[in-house]
Amino acid sequence: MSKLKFSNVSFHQGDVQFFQLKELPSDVKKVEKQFIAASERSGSFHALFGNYDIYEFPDGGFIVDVHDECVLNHSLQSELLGTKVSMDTAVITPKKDHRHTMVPPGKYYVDIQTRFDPLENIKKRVID
Amino acid sequence: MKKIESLTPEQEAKLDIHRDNWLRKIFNYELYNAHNAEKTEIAMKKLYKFCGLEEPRVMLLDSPMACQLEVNRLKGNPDDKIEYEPFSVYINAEDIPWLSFYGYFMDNFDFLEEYKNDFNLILECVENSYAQIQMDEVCLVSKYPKKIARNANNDLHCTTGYAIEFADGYGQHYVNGRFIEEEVFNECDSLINAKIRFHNEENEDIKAAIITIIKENFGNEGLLEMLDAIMVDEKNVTHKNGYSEIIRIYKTKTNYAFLQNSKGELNQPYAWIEFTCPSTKSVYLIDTCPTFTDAIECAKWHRPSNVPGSVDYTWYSAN
Repeated sequence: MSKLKFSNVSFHQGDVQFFQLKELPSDVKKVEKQFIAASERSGSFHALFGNYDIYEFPDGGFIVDVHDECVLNHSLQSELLGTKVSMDTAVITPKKDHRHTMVPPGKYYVDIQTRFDPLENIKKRVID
Repeated sequence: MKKIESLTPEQEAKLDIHRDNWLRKIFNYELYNAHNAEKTEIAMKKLYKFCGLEEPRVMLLDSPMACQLEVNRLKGNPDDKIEYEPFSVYINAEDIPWLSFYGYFMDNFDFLEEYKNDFNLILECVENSYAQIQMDEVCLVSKYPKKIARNANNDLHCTTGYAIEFADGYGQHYVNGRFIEEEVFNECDSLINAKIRFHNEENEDIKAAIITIIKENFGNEGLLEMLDAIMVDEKNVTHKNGYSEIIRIYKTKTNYAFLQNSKGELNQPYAWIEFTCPSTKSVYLIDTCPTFTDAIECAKWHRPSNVPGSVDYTWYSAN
Protein backbone atom coordinates (compact mmCIF):
# COMPACT_ATOMS: atom_id res chain seq x y z
CA MET A 1 0.00 0.00 0.00
CA SER A 2 1.31 3.43 -0.91
CA LYS A 3 2.21 5.71 1.98
CA LEU A 4 1.28 8.73 -0.12
CA LYS A 5 -2.12 10.36 0.41
CA PHE A 6 -3.52 11.44 -2.95
CA SER A 7 -6.18 14.06 -3.59
CA ASN A 8 -7.44 13.01 -7.08
CA VAL A 9 -5.92 16.06 -8.82
CA SER A 10 -3.42 15.06 -11.48
CA PHE A 11 -1.92 16.34 -14.71
CA HIS A 12 0.75 15.34 -17.15
CA GLN A 13 3.19 16.77 -19.63
CA GLY A 14 4.18 13.96 -21.98
CA ASP A 15 5.41 11.07 -19.87
CA VAL A 16 5.93 13.22 -16.76
CA GLN A 17 2.96 12.89 -14.41
CA PHE A 18 2.02 15.01 -11.37
CA PHE A 19 -0.33 13.78 -8.62
CA GLN A 20 -1.42 16.17 -5.90
CA LEU A 21 -0.94 15.01 -2.31
CA LYS A 22 -2.88 15.89 0.82
CA GLU A 23 0.32 16.22 2.81
CA LEU A 24 4.09 16.11 2.49
CA PRO A 25 5.39 12.61 3.33
CA SER A 26 7.78 12.53 6.28
CA ASP A 27 10.50 10.25 4.90
CA VAL A 28 11.70 12.44 2.04
CA LYS A 29 15.04 14.16 1.54
CA LYS A 30 15.28 17.66 0.11
CA VAL A 31 17.57 17.87 -2.93
CA GLU A 32 18.85 20.54 -5.31
CA LYS A 33 16.50 21.63 -8.08
CA GLN A 34 17.05 19.47 -11.11
CA PHE A 35 15.43 18.27 -14.31
CA ILE A 36 12.53 15.94 -13.56
CA ALA A 37 13.34 14.04 -16.74
CA ALA A 38 15.81 14.49 -19.58
CA SER A 39 16.17 12.80 -22.93
CA GLU A 40 19.69 11.92 -24.00
CA ARG A 41 18.55 11.33 -27.57
CA SER A 42 16.74 14.61 -28.17
CA GLY A 43 18.52 16.81 -25.62
CA SER A 44 15.18 17.84 -24.15
CA PHE A 45 14.12 18.12 -20.51
CA HIS A 46 11.04 18.46 -18.33
CA ALA A 47 11.68 20.82 -15.43
CA LEU A 48 9.74 22.94 -12.97
CA PHE A 49 10.59 26.65 -12.81
CA GLY A 50 9.65 28.86 -9.88
CA ASN A 51 9.35 28.93 -6.12
CA TYR A 52 9.22 25.33 -4.93
CA ASP A 53 11.17 22.72 -2.99
CA ILE A 54 11.96 19.30 -4.41
CA TYR A 55 12.52 16.08 -2.48
CA GLU A 56 13.67 12.63 -3.52
CA PHE A 57 11.07 9.96 -2.88
CA PRO A 58 12.58 6.71 -1.56
CA ASP A 59 10.67 4.51 -4.03
CA GLY A 60 11.71 6.68 -6.98
CA GLY A 61 10.38 9.89 -8.43
CA PHE A 62 10.15 13.22 -6.61
CA ILE A 63 7.93 15.11 -4.25
CA VAL A 64 7.59 18.80 -5.05
CA ASP A 65 6.22 21.41 -2.68
CA VAL A 66 5.06 24.30 -4.87
CA HIS A 67 4.86 27.54 -2.88
CA ASP A 68 3.80 29.93 -5.67
CA GLU A 69 2.46 29.09 -9.13
CA CYS A 70 5.29 27.44 -11.11
CA VAL A 71 5.84 26.58 -14.76
CA LEU A 72 6.54 23.05 -15.95
CA ASN A 73 8.52 23.38 -19.19
CA HIS A 74 9.56 20.93 -21.87
CA SER A 75 12.48 22.50 -23.73
CA LEU A 76 15.85 21.78 -25.24
CA GLN A 77 18.83 21.97 -22.88
CA SER A 78 20.64 23.93 -25.60
CA GLU A 79 18.01 26.69 -25.27
CA LEU A 80 19.26 27.40 -21.73
CA LEU A 81 22.96 27.51 -22.56
CA GLY A 82 24.42 30.98 -22.19
CA THR A 83 21.20 32.38 -20.75
CA LYS A 84 20.65 33.49 -17.19
CA VAL A 85 17.40 31.58 -16.91
CA SER A 86 17.16 29.97 -13.47
CA MET A 87 14.86 27.25 -12.20
CA ASP A 88 14.12 29.62 -9.29
CA THR A 89 12.04 31.86 -11.56
CA ALA A 90 8.63 30.95 -12.97
CA VAL A 91 9.46 31.56 -16.63
CA ILE A 92 8.18 29.92 -19.79
CA THR A 93 11.07 28.54 -21.83
CA PRO A 94 10.90 27.77 -25.58
CA LYS A 95 8.69 24.72 -26.18
CA LYS A 96 10.24 21.52 -27.51
CA ASP A 97 7.27 19.16 -27.99
CA HIS A 98 4.90 19.73 -25.09
CA ARG A 99 3.20 22.96 -24.13
CA HIS A 100 4.15 24.46 -20.77
CA THR A 101 1.92 23.68 -17.78
CA MET A 102 1.08 26.12 -14.98
CA VAL A 103 1.40 24.27 -11.67
CA PRO A 104 -0.68 25.70 -8.81
CA PRO A 105 0.65 25.76 -5.23
CA GLY A 106 0.44 22.37 -3.51
CA LYS A 107 2.35 19.22 -2.82
CA TYR A 108 2.80 16.71 -5.62
CA TYR A 109 4.21 13.30 -6.28
CA VAL A 110 6.01 13.40 -9.64
CA ASP A 111 7.24 10.49 -11.69
CA ILE A 112 7.39 9.04 -15.18
CA GLN A 113 4.79 6.91 -16.96
CA THR A 114 5.66 3.22 -16.98
CA ARG A 115 5.76 0.42 -19.53
CA PHE A 116 5.61 -3.32 -18.93
CA ASP A 117 8.51 -5.49 -20.04
CA PRO A 118 6.96 -8.89 -20.83
CA LEU A 119 10.38 -10.54 -21.14
CA GLU A 120 11.40 -9.65 -17.59
CA ASN A 121 7.95 -9.23 -16.02
CA ILE A 122 8.75 -5.81 -14.58
CA LYS A 123 7.44 -2.30 -15.00
CA LYS A 124 9.99 0.28 -16.15
CA ARG A 125 9.86 4.00 -16.71
CA VAL A 126 9.31 4.80 -20.37
CA ILE A 127 12.33 6.09 -22.27
CA ASP A 128 12.29 8.84 -24.88
CA MET B 1 13.73 56.90 -28.76
CA LYS B 2 9.94 56.91 -28.69
CA LYS B 3 8.20 54.13 -26.80
CA ILE B 4 5.04 52.64 -28.27
CA GLU B 5 2.42 51.86 -25.62
CA SER B 6 -0.25 50.46 -27.93
CA LEU B 7 -1.17 49.92 -31.56
CA THR B 8 -4.05 51.62 -33.37
CA PRO B 9 -6.69 49.32 -34.95
CA GLU B 10 -5.17 50.13 -38.37
CA GLN B 11 -1.70 49.15 -37.17
CA GLU B 12 -3.06 45.95 -35.61
CA ALA B 13 -4.79 45.08 -38.88
CA LYS B 14 -1.43 45.18 -40.64
CA LEU B 15 0.07 42.55 -38.32
CA ASP B 16 -1.55 39.56 -40.04
CA ILE B 17 -0.53 40.84 -43.47
CA HIS B 18 3.03 41.37 -42.27
CA ARG B 19 3.17 37.88 -40.71
CA ASP B 20 1.78 36.23 -43.85
CA ASN B 21 4.32 38.04 -46.04
CA TRP B 22 7.13 36.59 -43.94
CA LEU B 23 5.66 33.09 -43.82
CA ARG B 24 5.35 33.10 -47.61
CA LYS B 25 9.07 33.77 -47.92
CA ILE B 26 9.79 30.40 -46.36
CA PHE B 27 6.77 28.19 -46.77
CA ASN B 28 5.81 29.34 -50.29
CA TYR B 29 9.51 29.14 -51.19
CA GLU B 30 9.83 32.77 -52.26
CA LEU B 31 13.38 32.94 -50.90
CA TYR B 32 14.31 29.60 -52.47
CA ASN B 33 12.99 30.63 -55.87
CA ALA B 34 14.67 34.04 -55.76
CA HIS B 35 18.04 32.78 -54.58
CA ASN B 36 20.88 33.21 -57.05
CA ALA B 37 24.67 33.36 -56.89
CA GLU B 38 24.97 36.97 -58.02
CA LYS B 39 22.68 38.42 -55.35
CA THR B 40 24.28 36.20 -52.71
CA GLU B 41 27.79 37.33 -53.61
CA ILE B 42 26.82 41.01 -53.48
CA ALA B 43 25.12 40.58 -50.07
CA MET B 44 27.97 38.61 -48.45
CA LYS B 45 30.65 40.98 -49.70
CA LYS B 46 28.70 43.87 -48.18
CA LEU B 47 28.47 41.90 -44.91
CA TYR B 48 32.22 41.23 -44.74
CA LYS B 49 32.92 44.90 -45.54
CA PHE B 50 30.48 45.99 -42.81
CA CYS B 51 32.48 43.81 -40.38
CA GLY B 52 35.79 45.31 -41.56
CA LEU B 53 36.93 42.09 -43.23
CA GLU B 54 38.48 41.37 -46.61
CA GLU B 55 36.09 40.48 -49.41
CA PRO B 56 35.55 36.70 -49.41
CA ARG B 57 35.04 34.31 -52.27
CA VAL B 58 31.34 33.51 -52.01
CA MET B 59 30.06 30.06 -52.92
CA LEU B 60 26.32 29.42 -53.10
CA LEU B 61 25.61 25.73 -52.49
CA ASP B 62 22.42 23.72 -52.60
CA SER B 63 22.18 22.58 -49.00
CA PRO B 64 23.76 22.74 -45.53
CA MET B 65 25.21 19.28 -46.24
CA ALA B 66 26.83 20.58 -49.43
CA CYS B 67 28.43 23.36 -47.32
CA GLN B 68 29.84 20.76 -44.92
CA LEU B 69 31.29 18.67 -47.74
CA GLU B 70 32.77 21.73 -49.43
CA VAL B 71 34.42 23.09 -46.27
CA ASN B 72 36.00 19.70 -45.66
CA ARG B 73 37.23 19.62 -49.27
CA LEU B 74 38.73 23.09 -48.84
CA LYS B 75 40.47 21.99 -45.64
CA GLY B 76 41.85 18.95 -47.43
CA ASN B 77 40.08 16.46 -45.17
CA PRO B 78 39.85 13.01 -46.78
CA ASP B 79 36.37 11.61 -47.45
CA ASP B 80 36.63 9.18 -44.54
CA LYS B 81 37.56 11.93 -42.07
CA ILE B 82 34.80 14.46 -42.60
CA GLU B 83 34.49 16.87 -39.65
CA TYR B 84 31.49 18.99 -38.73
CA GLU B 85 32.18 22.70 -39.17
CA PRO B 86 29.78 24.92 -37.19
CA PHE B 87 27.50 27.20 -39.15
CA SER B 88 27.52 30.89 -38.28
CA VAL B 89 25.31 31.91 -35.39
CA TYR B 90 23.94 34.93 -37.28
CA ILE B 91 22.90 35.54 -40.90
CA ASN B 92 20.73 32.51 -41.40
CA ALA B 93 17.09 31.44 -41.27
CA GLU B 94 17.10 31.63 -37.46
CA ASP B 95 17.33 35.42 -37.73
CA ILE B 96 13.92 35.57 -39.38
CA PRO B 97 11.86 35.81 -36.14
CA TRP B 98 13.62 38.98 -34.93
CA LEU B 99 13.91 40.45 -38.42
CA SER B 100 10.18 40.04 -39.00
CA PHE B 101 9.46 41.62 -35.60
CA TYR B 102 11.60 44.71 -36.19
CA GLY B 103 10.61 44.74 -39.86
CA TYR B 104 7.05 45.51 -38.83
CA PHE B 105 8.17 48.62 -36.97
CA MET B 106 10.58 49.60 -39.75
CA ASP B 107 7.72 49.45 -42.23
CA ASN B 108 5.07 51.20 -40.16
CA PHE B 109 6.88 53.70 -37.92
CA ASP B 110 9.64 56.22 -38.41
CA PHE B 111 11.44 56.09 -35.07
CA LEU B 112 13.90 53.35 -36.15
CA GLU B 113 14.99 55.34 -39.20
CA GLU B 114 18.61 55.65 -38.02
CA TYR B 115 18.97 51.84 -38.04
CA LYS B 116 17.29 51.32 -41.41
CA ASN B 117 20.43 50.93 -43.54
CA ASP B 118 22.04 48.41 -41.19
CA PHE B 119 18.75 46.57 -40.85
CA ASN B 120 18.31 46.35 -44.59
CA LEU B 121 21.85 45.01 -44.97
CA ILE B 122 21.16 42.19 -42.50
CA LEU B 123 17.81 41.55 -44.16
CA GLU B 124 19.44 41.33 -47.60
CA CYS B 125 22.03 38.87 -46.24
CA VAL B 126 19.50 36.64 -44.46
CA GLU B 127 17.19 36.56 -47.48
CA ASN B 128 20.17 35.18 -49.40
CA SER B 129 21.42 32.66 -46.85
CA TYR B 130 19.56 29.78 -45.23
CA ALA B 131 22.79 28.90 -43.37
CA GLN B 132 26.41 29.74 -43.91
CA ILE B 133 29.98 28.98 -42.90
CA GLN B 134 32.00 32.18 -42.63
CA MET B 135 35.78 31.94 -43.00
CA ASP B 136 38.53 34.47 -43.66
CA GLU B 137 38.66 34.03 -47.40
CA VAL B 138 35.61 32.02 -48.25
CA CYS B 139 31.94 32.28 -47.36
CA LEU B 140 29.92 29.12 -48.02
CA VAL B 141 26.19 29.79 -48.27
CA SER B 142 23.34 27.28 -48.37
CA LYS B 143 20.18 27.88 -50.35
CA TYR B 144 16.81 27.74 -48.61
CA PRO B 145 14.95 24.40 -48.68
CA LYS B 146 12.84 23.61 -51.70
CA LYS B 147 10.32 21.60 -49.69
CA ILE B 148 8.98 21.93 -46.14
CA ALA B 149 6.14 19.68 -44.99
CA ARG B 150 4.30 20.27 -41.72
CA ASN B 151 1.39 18.86 -39.71
CA ALA B 152 -1.64 20.71 -38.35
CA ASN B 153 0.48 21.94 -35.40
CA ASN B 154 2.97 23.46 -37.87
CA ASP B 155 5.61 20.96 -36.74
CA LEU B 156 7.85 19.45 -39.41
CA HIS B 157 6.10 16.28 -40.51
CA CYS B 158 6.06 13.96 -43.50
CA THR B 159 5.49 10.20 -43.55
CA THR B 160 6.08 9.72 -47.29
CA GLY B 161 9.44 11.43 -47.73
CA TYR B 162 11.64 14.17 -46.35
CA ALA B 163 9.91 16.82 -44.24
CA ILE B 164 12.61 19.28 -45.28
CA GLU B 165 14.45 18.90 -48.57
CA PHE B 166 17.06 20.91 -50.45
CA ALA B 167 17.84 21.40 -54.13
CA ASP B 168 20.54 18.72 -54.23
CA GLY B 169 18.23 16.07 -52.75
CA TYR B 170 19.63 16.27 -49.21
CA GLY B 171 16.84 16.16 -46.67
CA GLN B 172 15.81 15.16 -43.18
CA HIS B 173 12.88 13.17 -41.88
CA TYR B 174 10.60 14.47 -39.15
CA VAL B 175 7.45 12.94 -37.74
CA ASN B 176 5.26 15.27 -35.69
CA GLY B 177 8.24 17.58 -35.16
CA ARG B 178 10.71 14.91 -34.12
CA PHE B 179 13.81 14.14 -36.15
CA ILE B 180 13.88 10.53 -37.35
CA GLU B 181 17.00 8.85 -38.68
CA GLU B 182 16.86 7.86 -42.35
CA GLU B 183 17.41 4.20 -41.46
CA VAL B 184 14.32 4.09 -39.22
CA PHE B 185 12.21 5.92 -41.79
CA ASN B 186 13.22 3.58 -44.60
CA GLU B 187 12.44 0.52 -42.50
CA CYS B 188 8.82 1.69 -42.43
CA ASP B 189 8.57 1.05 -46.18
CA SER B 190 7.44 -2.46 -45.38
CA LEU B 191 5.26 -3.82 -42.59
CA ILE B 192 7.70 -6.67 -41.95
CA ASN B 193 10.74 -4.42 -41.51
CA ALA B 194 8.71 -1.95 -39.45
CA LYS B 195 7.55 -4.78 -37.20
CA ILE B 196 11.11 -5.95 -36.53
CA ARG B 197 12.29 -2.41 -35.79
CA PHE B 198 9.28 -1.71 -33.56
CA HIS B 199 9.87 -4.83 -31.48
CA ASN B 200 13.61 -4.12 -31.11
CA GLU B 201 13.26 -0.40 -30.36
CA GLU B 202 13.27 0.83 -26.74
CA ASN B 203 12.82 4.55 -27.38
CA GLU B 204 9.12 5.44 -27.14
CA ASP B 205 9.44 8.49 -29.41
CA ILE B 206 10.95 6.39 -32.19
CA LYS B 207 8.29 3.73 -31.68
CA ALA B 208 5.63 6.46 -31.87
CA ALA B 209 7.11 7.68 -35.14
CA ILE B 210 6.96 4.14 -36.57
CA ILE B 211 3.31 3.85 -35.54
CA THR B 212 2.49 7.22 -37.12
CA ILE B 213 4.23 6.37 -40.39
CA ILE B 214 2.49 2.98 -40.61
CA LYS B 215 -0.92 4.43 -39.69
CA GLU B 216 -0.66 7.23 -42.25
CA ASN B 217 0.64 5.02 -45.04
CA PHE B 218 -1.11 1.70 -44.39
CA GLY B 219 -4.12 2.71 -42.25
CA ASN B 220 -5.27 1.09 -39.00
CA GLU B 221 -5.52 -2.25 -40.80
CA GLY B 222 -1.83 -1.94 -41.69
CA LEU B 223 -0.98 -1.18 -38.09
CA LEU B 224 -2.83 -4.22 -36.81
CA GLU B 225 -1.24 -6.31 -39.55
CA MET B 226 2.21 -5.04 -38.61
CA LEU B 227 1.57 -5.94 -35.00
CA ASP B 228 -0.34 -9.13 -35.92
CA ALA B 229 -2.83 -7.84 -33.37
CA ILE B 230 -6.48 -7.35 -32.53
CA MET B 231 -8.02 -4.51 -30.56
CA VAL B 232 -9.16 -5.70 -27.13
CA ASP B 233 -10.84 -2.53 -25.82
CA GLU B 234 -11.37 1.12 -26.69
CA LYS B 235 -12.45 3.83 -24.24
CA ASN B 236 -13.13 7.51 -24.74
CA VAL B 237 -12.16 9.49 -21.62
CA THR B 238 -13.16 13.11 -21.10
CA HIS B 239 -10.75 14.78 -18.73
CA LYS B 240 -11.49 17.54 -16.23
CA ASN B 241 -10.25 20.28 -18.56
CA GLY B 242 -12.63 19.08 -21.31
CA TYR B 243 -9.91 17.38 -23.34
CA SER B 244 -11.00 13.97 -24.54
CA GLU B 245 -8.74 11.03 -25.22
CA ILE B 246 -9.25 7.65 -26.87
CA ILE B 247 -7.33 4.83 -25.22
CA ARG B 248 -7.09 1.42 -26.83
CA ILE B 249 -5.51 -1.89 -25.89
CA TYR B 250 -4.28 -4.41 -28.42
CA LYS B 251 -2.76 -7.85 -28.24
CA THR B 252 -1.24 -10.22 -30.75
CA LYS B 253 -3.27 -13.15 -32.04
CA THR B 254 -0.33 -15.41 -31.29
CA ASN B 255 1.07 -16.37 -27.89
CA TYR B 256 4.82 -16.56 -27.42
CA ALA B 257 6.49 -19.06 -25.08
CA PHE B 258 9.00 -16.51 -23.80
CA LEU B 259 6.55 -13.73 -22.91
CA GLN B 260 5.14 -13.26 -19.41
CA ASN B 261 2.19 -11.48 -17.91
CA SER B 262 2.50 -9.50 -14.69
CA LYS B 263 1.84 -12.68 -12.67
CA GLY B 264 4.90 -14.31 -14.22
CA GLU B 265 2.90 -16.74 -16.34
CA LEU B 266 4.65 -17.67 -19.60
CA ASN B 267 3.22 -18.25 -23.11
CA GLN B 268 1.52 -14.86 -23.41
CA PRO B 269 0.71 -12.54 -26.36
CA TYR B 270 2.36 -9.18 -26.86
CA ALA B 271 0.04 -6.40 -25.70
CA TRP B 272 0.05 -2.62 -26.02
CA ILE B 273 -1.90 0.33 -24.73
CA GLU B 274 -2.39 3.22 -27.15
CA PHE B 275 -2.20 6.83 -25.99
CA THR B 276 -2.23 9.96 -28.15
CA CYS B 277 -0.06 12.87 -27.04
CA PRO B 278 -2.31 15.94 -26.65
CA SER B 279 0.50 18.30 -27.72
CA THR B 280 2.09 16.53 -30.68
CA LYS B 281 -0.78 14.16 -31.60
CA SER B 282 1.81 11.39 -31.80
CA VAL B 283 0.34 7.96 -31.12
CA TYR B 284 2.22 5.87 -28.58
CA LEU B 285 1.87 2.11 -28.17
CA ILE B 286 3.29 1.26 -24.78
CA ASP B 287 4.03 -2.38 -23.95
CA THR B 288 1.52 -3.61 -21.42
CA CYS B 289 0.41 -6.70 -19.54
CA PRO B 290 -1.84 -8.88 -21.75
CA THR B 291 -4.33 -9.66 -18.98
CA PHE B 292 -6.09 -6.28 -19.22
CA THR B 293 -9.50 -6.16 -20.87
CA ASP B 294 -10.41 -2.59 -19.79
CA ALA B 295 -8.42 0.25 -21.35
CA ILE B 296 -8.96 2.65 -18.42
CA GLU B 297 -7.80 0.14 -15.83
CA CYS B 298 -4.80 -0.52 -18.02
CA ALA B 299 -4.05 3.22 -18.35
CA LYS B 300 -4.18 3.57 -14.56
CA TRP B 301 -1.72 0.70 -14.19
CA HIS B 302 0.81 2.54 -16.39
CA ARG B 303 0.95 5.50 -14.03
CA PRO B 304 3.97 5.59 -11.70
CA SER B 305 3.98 2.57 -9.41
CA ASN B 306 3.19 4.56 -6.25
CA VAL B 307 -0.16 5.78 -7.60
CA PRO B 308 -2.98 3.46 -6.53
CA GLY B 309 -5.85 2.46 -8.82
CA SER B 310 -8.28 4.37 -6.59
CA VAL B 311 -6.97 7.68 -7.99
CA ASP B 312 -9.16 8.77 -10.95
CA TYR B 313 -7.83 8.55 -14.48
CA THR B 314 -8.89 12.08 -15.36
CA TRP B 315 -6.31 14.79 -15.92
CA TYR B 316 -6.81 18.40 -14.88
CA SER B 317 -4.31 19.36 -17.55
CA ALA B 318 -2.67 17.33 -20.32
CA ASN B 319 0.07 18.73 -22.52
